[in-house]
Parts: sequence; C-alpha cells; structure tokens
Amino acid sequence: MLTIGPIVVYLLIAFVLVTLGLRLSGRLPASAFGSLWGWAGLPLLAAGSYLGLAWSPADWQMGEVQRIMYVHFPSWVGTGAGYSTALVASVLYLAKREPRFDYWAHAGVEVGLVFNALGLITGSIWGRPTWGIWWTWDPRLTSTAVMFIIFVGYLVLRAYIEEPDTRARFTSAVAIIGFLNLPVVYFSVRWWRTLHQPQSTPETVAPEMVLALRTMMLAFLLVCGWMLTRRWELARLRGEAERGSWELETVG
Amino acid sequence: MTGGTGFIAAAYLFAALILGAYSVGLARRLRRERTSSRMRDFRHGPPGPAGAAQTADRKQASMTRAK
Repeated sequence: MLTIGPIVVYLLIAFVLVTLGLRLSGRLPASAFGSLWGWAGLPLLAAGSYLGLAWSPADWQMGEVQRIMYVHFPSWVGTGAGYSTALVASVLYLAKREPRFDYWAHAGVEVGLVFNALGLITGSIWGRPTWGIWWTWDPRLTSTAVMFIIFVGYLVLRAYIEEPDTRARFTSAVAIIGFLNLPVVYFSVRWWRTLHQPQSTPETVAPEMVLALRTMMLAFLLVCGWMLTRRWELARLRGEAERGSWELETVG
Repeated sequence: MTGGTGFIAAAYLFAALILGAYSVGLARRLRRERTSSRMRDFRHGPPGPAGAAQTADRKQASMTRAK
C-alpha cells in the first residue's frame, strides 16, 4: 500500500489540477466539473476512512483517539477552499460588478461554513479526551470561532439587504474582511503559546498517517468542489429570478 | 480499537451527518429551483435578450395560429 498509495495520491492531485485548470479556462462547464469531483470524491471518502480508521497506526502518545485527525484536519481544507473561493469572487465582484461573482462568493461562504462547523465540532470532540475539556478560549480556537461568526454574519447580512447590487457590494466587503482572519487562525499556534499543537509536517509523521491524511484531504476537497458548483448553480438560478423581478418592480 | 472509540465514532458520525445532510438538502433545493426556473422560462422566456427573442417568437407563433 505504501508503494502504490502515494502514486495514486499524486495522480489524484494531477486530476484535481487538470480539471481545475479546465474549469478556470472555461473549457469545462461548472456542472460537469462538479459532477467529476463529486463522483471522484465519494470512493475516496470511503478509502480515506478505511485508511484512517483501520489501516494507519495509532499515535504513540494519544493512542487511537488521534484517528479523529483524519476528519478534523480535512475539514479545514474544505473551509479554506470555501472561504478562498468567497475571497476571490468578492474581489472580482467589486472590480467587475458581475452578478456571477456574487453567486460564487455566496456559495463559497455557505460551503466554507459547513466545513468550518465540522472542524469546530470534531476539534471539540478530540479536545475532550486529549485536553480534558470540550472548549477553551485558546487563540487558535477563539480565532476560528470568530471566523465562523463573521461568515455567519455574512449570511445574515445577505438576508437583510433586498436590493441585489447593494447586497452584493456590502457582503463582498464582509467576505474580504472575514478572510483576513484566516492567516491569524493559521499562524495563531506559532504567534502565541497555545494549547493547540502547531502544524505537523510529513517528516514528523508516520508515512501511513500521511497517506491516510492526504487521501481524506483530497476527498474533502473534491466533495467541497461538488458542493461549491451546486451551491453556485442554486445561487445563480435564484439570483437571475430575483434580479428579473427586481428590475420589473423598479421599472414598473 | 481501544481507548477513545466513542469519541472517534462521534467525530466520524458528525462528519457523515453534517456533510450528508447538507449534500442532500442542497440537491433538493437545487432540484426545486431548477423546476421553478423551467416553469418561469416556459411562462416568460429565459432572462436577457435570448428570453425576449424567445417570447417574441412564441407570440408570433400564437398569432399565426390565431389567423
């Protein structure tokens, strides 16, 4: 497994990069891109769960409970992918004022929030047996919770502003401000003395754990891609209908 | 598996529940919206210049039938 596994992972990374390139260049429609990633993500989720739960060894210090890492850490991959999509789309919206970027930003925030919530919950479940507590106001945990609350605020703001262009402008600003918190979350374990451990590197982790973790990270990324394209389509359909009726109301 | 089995099970269960529930909900919302969109297009034509042209064609066709 250790000889074939990394090759498969690199092939999957190539698949991700090629399909992403085709999508960004406009050669692959969003729905086909989403379907490709979704269908590739499902068996990978199953494979990653098997590798993480049964195949990889237990941690020498934490024991079996360390297996939570294989769902906890990939959740942050999904969170990062979602919020990064929202950041890029928000900047593009403010620059070009095209509604399609607002739809991508909305999709990015909602999907990012789903993974953010999952990361917070699995982290709390992992914290109880290792730290003896469900939650503490540690810099990493606090900055992550603040990020979650800012993006919940983004959705609340969307619900309160009726005029589509004003809403898109205001929420783009919120998404950009909210994203500024992401580097703080990432570096919090280095900048401050925290209970949360600093990032591990493949050199300090057993190769079996690296393989299981990379498989789950890719699986979560692919599932996140599927969700993003579907959520974008939903936002687009609703947005087009809303903009149509809004124009009718303002003209009429 | 020894110590912490309950915590591991809870973490994986939450992951399956949250991702599964969101995916199913999203697919349902999208299906509903696609149906509504098709109904709107059928009644008024799709948005934009293509829609206006389509609506004009439909009007022309109904006038021809009326004659």
